[in-house]
Amino acid sequence: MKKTLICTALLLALSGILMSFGVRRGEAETVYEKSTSICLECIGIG
Amino acid sequence: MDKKEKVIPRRRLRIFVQCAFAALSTGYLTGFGTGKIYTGATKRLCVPGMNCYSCPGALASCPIGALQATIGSRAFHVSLYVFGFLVAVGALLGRGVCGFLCPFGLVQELLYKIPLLKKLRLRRLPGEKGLRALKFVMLLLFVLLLPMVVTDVTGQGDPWFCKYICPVGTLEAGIPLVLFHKGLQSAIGFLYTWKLAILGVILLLSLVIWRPFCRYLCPLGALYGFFNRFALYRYRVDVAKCIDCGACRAACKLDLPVWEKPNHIDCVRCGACMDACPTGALGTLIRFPRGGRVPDQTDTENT
Repeated sequence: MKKTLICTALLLALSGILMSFGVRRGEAETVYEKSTSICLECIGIG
Repeated sequence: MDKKEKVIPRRRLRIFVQCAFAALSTGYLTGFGTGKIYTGATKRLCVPGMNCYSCPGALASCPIGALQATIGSRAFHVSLYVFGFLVAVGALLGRGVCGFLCPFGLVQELLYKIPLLKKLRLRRLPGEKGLRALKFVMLLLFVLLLPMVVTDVTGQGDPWFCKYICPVGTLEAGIPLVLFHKGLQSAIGFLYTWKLAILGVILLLSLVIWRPFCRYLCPLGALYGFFNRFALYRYRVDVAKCIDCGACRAACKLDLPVWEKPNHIDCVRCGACMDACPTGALGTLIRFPRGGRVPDQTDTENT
């Protein structure tokens, strides 16, 4: 059980690092731009 | 306290959380009145479950849509932000997201509850094993590979899963937005009909088989499934209490051998196995109320 908890903690730490780098290089803005206009592909038009 | 009294709190808690999260995810009520989508700052964030960001009520982004949008963009071909988010959610909940936090999972479950076709209900479809592998194809091919590799002259890739497969987008965004906007109505073509047909098949199948989209097609479930073994919210079997009666498998609507693999990649954490276990051998790390009693956990459990 201890090993699994350590694994969970490591995954959380890794996710924090990945998200920080992603935000720093502007990925959150890309997501924002895509999600704030109607996605024609998503609705089956585009 | 009899068995019925014990199991009700967990079922009620799950349906309450499912409804509350579905309401929260699609909580921009103005959008449903005007047909305009939300443009606030929270759209930079993702919800843990499938929830189309073009849904008029969506307050945040769909992780699968966001993943494809980033992978298919000119600037990035790998999404650290969304992948990091998915790793975090997976490490905490695994496919517990599917059982508790996915609005489309709730829709399918509600359809399955309709007693009209109860006699026709199926535990599995012919070719079940191959069908279940489809969700990994969806993840690897339609979500990751094709948006990255197949790009236009500007270097942008299509969101292949959203465009050709996703029934969630059709239900939450395609139908309401087309009803609202005449311009979109005139643009309807084969693709819309194709996606409407996929949605129709999934909804009809939901009447007779439990969560067909989740078990066969969902790329998000496929990804979270890899975390089931490591997630903070995972199942454990107290082998000292387990009597190999098979009651857990009989209760599992996904027909999984729970006592052998409590953290199976397909398990969506509905908890039916725990309700069915006559000896209380199944438990979780994050505990649920069970009539004031929680299963014992020993060092001999399977995980």
